[in-house]
Amino acid sequence: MNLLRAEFTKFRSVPGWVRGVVMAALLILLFPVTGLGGGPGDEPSPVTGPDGQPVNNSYSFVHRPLTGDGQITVAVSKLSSEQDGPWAKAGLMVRAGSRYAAIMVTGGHGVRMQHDYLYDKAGPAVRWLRLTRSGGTVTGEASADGSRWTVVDKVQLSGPAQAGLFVACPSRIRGIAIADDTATAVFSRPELAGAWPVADWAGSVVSSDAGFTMTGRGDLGPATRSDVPVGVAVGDLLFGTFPALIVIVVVGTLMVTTEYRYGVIRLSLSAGTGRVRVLLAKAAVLAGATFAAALLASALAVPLWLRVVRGLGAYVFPAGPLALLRAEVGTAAVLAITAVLALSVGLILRRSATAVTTVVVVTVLPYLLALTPFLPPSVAQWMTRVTPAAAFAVQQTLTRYPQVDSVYTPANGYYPLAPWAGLAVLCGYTAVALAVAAVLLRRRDV
Amino acid sequence: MRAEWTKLRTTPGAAWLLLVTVIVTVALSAAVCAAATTCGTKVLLSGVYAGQAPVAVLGVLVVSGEYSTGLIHTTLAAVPSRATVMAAKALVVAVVVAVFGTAMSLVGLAEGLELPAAARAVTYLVLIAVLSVGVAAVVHDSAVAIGSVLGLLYLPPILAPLVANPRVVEELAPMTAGLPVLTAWSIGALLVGTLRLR
Amino acid sequence: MTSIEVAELRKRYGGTTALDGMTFTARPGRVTGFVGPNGAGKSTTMRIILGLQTADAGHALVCGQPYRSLRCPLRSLGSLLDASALHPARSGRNHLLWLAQTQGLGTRRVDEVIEQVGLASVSRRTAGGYSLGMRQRLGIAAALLGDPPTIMLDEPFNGMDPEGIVWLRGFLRSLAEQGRAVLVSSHLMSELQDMAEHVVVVGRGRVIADSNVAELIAAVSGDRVRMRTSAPEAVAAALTAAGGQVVEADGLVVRRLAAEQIVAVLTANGLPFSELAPHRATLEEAYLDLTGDAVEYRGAPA
Repeated sequence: MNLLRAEFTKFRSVPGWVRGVVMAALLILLFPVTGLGGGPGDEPSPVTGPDGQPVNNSYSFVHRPLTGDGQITVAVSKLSSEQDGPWAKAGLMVRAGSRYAAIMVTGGHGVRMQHDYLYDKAGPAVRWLRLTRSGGTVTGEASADGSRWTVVDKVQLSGPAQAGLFVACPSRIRGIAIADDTATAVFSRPELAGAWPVADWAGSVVSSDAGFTMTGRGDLGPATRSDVPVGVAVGDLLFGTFPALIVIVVVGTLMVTTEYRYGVIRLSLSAGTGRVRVLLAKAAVLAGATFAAALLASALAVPLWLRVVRGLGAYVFPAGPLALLRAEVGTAAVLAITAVLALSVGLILRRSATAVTTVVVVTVLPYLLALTPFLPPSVAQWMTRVTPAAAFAVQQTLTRYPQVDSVYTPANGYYPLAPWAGLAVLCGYTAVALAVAAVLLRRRDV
Repeated sequence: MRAEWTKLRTTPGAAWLLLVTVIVTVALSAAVCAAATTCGTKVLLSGVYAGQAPVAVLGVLVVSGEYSTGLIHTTLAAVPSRATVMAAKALVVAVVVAVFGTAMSLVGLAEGLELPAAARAVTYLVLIAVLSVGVAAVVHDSAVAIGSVLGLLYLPPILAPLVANPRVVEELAPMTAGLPVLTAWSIGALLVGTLRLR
Repeated sequence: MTSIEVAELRKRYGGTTALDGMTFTARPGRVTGFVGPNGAGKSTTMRIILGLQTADAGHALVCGQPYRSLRCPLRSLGSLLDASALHPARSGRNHLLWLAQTQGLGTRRVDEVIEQVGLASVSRRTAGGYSLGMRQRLGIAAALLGDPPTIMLDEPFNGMDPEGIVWLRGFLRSLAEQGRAVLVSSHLMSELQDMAEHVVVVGRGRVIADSNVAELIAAVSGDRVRMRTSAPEAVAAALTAAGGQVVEADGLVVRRLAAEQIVAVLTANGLPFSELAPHRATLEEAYLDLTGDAVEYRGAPA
């Protein structure tokens, strides 16, 4: 405790360090100013689904009204797409207003039952599909032969609806290349059972006695960053983290290298509280001050800039309060832990310039390389998975959907690791550096 | 000029930094090359992204190393002309980096790197070193200087996609803009550094 | 036991021997001078005492314990190793404050020691602007923080103005009179004159002399006589013939002849003389005598 107070006195009594931490906080708070002025442009806001998430909602649909209960059964005899899209979809759908439930055959992922854009459940890889509405419940079933059926999922969906056959085909993603794709599906003639009102099939379809042939493009599902490039993710509002990080790295390094340069380390160590404890107290004070300043800044910055950006009419990807809190606390934690990393590396190397460079190169550079367009995505993934730059994952507020192929790159705001796992990678590096620093401090003559 | 060369030669860190430059550049290029399907010039040169960091450290230390030890007073007492001191430092660092860069790019040439690209890479590293010398003379403290240089290099490409006018940032930032703009940065830093040298 | 005790310390750096069996004790109630030429191993010894460096062999005890095992060491040993060990942007007062806080002491004690060393007017200025003399005073204040029974200062007179040197001598004497053990290193014996009661003279990593100052001077003074004369050549010739040894130094210094013998010889030869008195060697002379062959870096004679 005495040691903590002493280290805090040391920290606060060098005006440059305090200014550095304040500057880092201000960078987080104010840096988004540089993003203003371009304006959101004339791009329309994306379509949102029943949950408020942005969605893709384009597909081919051959349908007829369904007011009450009813059942529709079909066999998908062929599904192919120009680009061999694994998520090309053909199947049955019941749609009521903005909600829907659908069961489908896919290009490479077997039978799926999906509803309301976000939800997805896998079934067997078969060809026969059936949707049954009974009461308010829609049941999706799949079958290999049309006689023995397996239930895939059940969805609550009542009210007047349109039901029928649909085909969709999202763009094909290879690395960061996106290619438009079109799917063609051949269905058997759908068998209807139950109280279907008298009506004709509506929609674009080539009909024969054997069945229907349909083509379709687009997708039914959650929209990702590459679908809504003008949309703002909350992580974008914290991009002042990068300049702040460099400032904090400089402060953290100086806190220890100046002790060596001016010989103050001899005083610190001869005050006799145990060398490792001196290091830990220093790390605690630095991390505490950084965390407090950065948390204040990010907790102010996120709501403030969200208001500003929304006020300008830009679309903001929705994020729950917990995700926002995680991004804010996580940003402060990234800065605080990186500061301790800088402190440890500074103690190991005892030279300011080399220590600052080392820490910046292992934290900021991998992120930069991950953004570089000419590098393959595997490199980008690797850079943000095994280096301390993985920690920026705590700023991810976008959701990654397994049922949607997209450009899930750090540049788009998607990280390969889960937020806390990313932070844990940084913690791991810092713990190792701190341990090495402690051992060296114990052993070395000063 | 000879004196500056002697100072650099007798500082043990310099040789290490150049060695690190070579290792980092070659290793990163090789790693990226292995991961990429095609091994084009751009991919080969991605190693320069990391390799420029030790070069920047070298440039910074040539100046700020003298500030931290107080040697700068001796230097300025021996050669009172600030412009001469700065020019000598910049020139020595530039020549050393150029020689090492050339040696390094010979390896690259053997691996299929094109000559103009290799020449650009060497020039780039030289200019980065000179920029670092200038920045270090402006801010004196080595940690702040290297932080500024690395910030100047690495931050614009990260931040550009998010600011209002990405083109403007990319065309002005030292790392992305191209050699003429980088030359302007380096000369500007040297000039301001000369005025701030004391 | 309130003393600093060093026994058989040995330390090598690569091929050079820094300490070669250094042994001495600084006892309470007196100022112990720790003198030797630069490179004799004084600073290394002090760093080992403080546990900053490890000795290859031997041990150093403060108040009977190794320094690194003391709980609040600044309450046992106050030390000043390097007065320049300051962050230049931190004020002198804050420098003392953090040091005090490591020992659980507060601002009151800090202000007391600042007053004691006479830095009250500048204590809130940043240390980067301090003169070397002010830094020495700040370092001494730091050594006093824990009100320790033993005090160890490395070259505290460096950079001090004459007024400061007089003050520091008196101050250190008063600390010793309070019963503390005070160890003060210097490469200039003259700085310790009139202050140290006891000196440990070292050279090449070992102790050359460890003795009371009065005894040391007496041993070197021997049977010397200082005199003045208007005919130095004739006097020198006559005294040498009588078996004496004559050196010219601010008059003449004669060895191997007692004062009565000199008077007899000169009177017999009818030579003029005045101010005949036994010569009292300075501490400096004693030191030069002792360290003559222990100096590592000696200027070539001009």
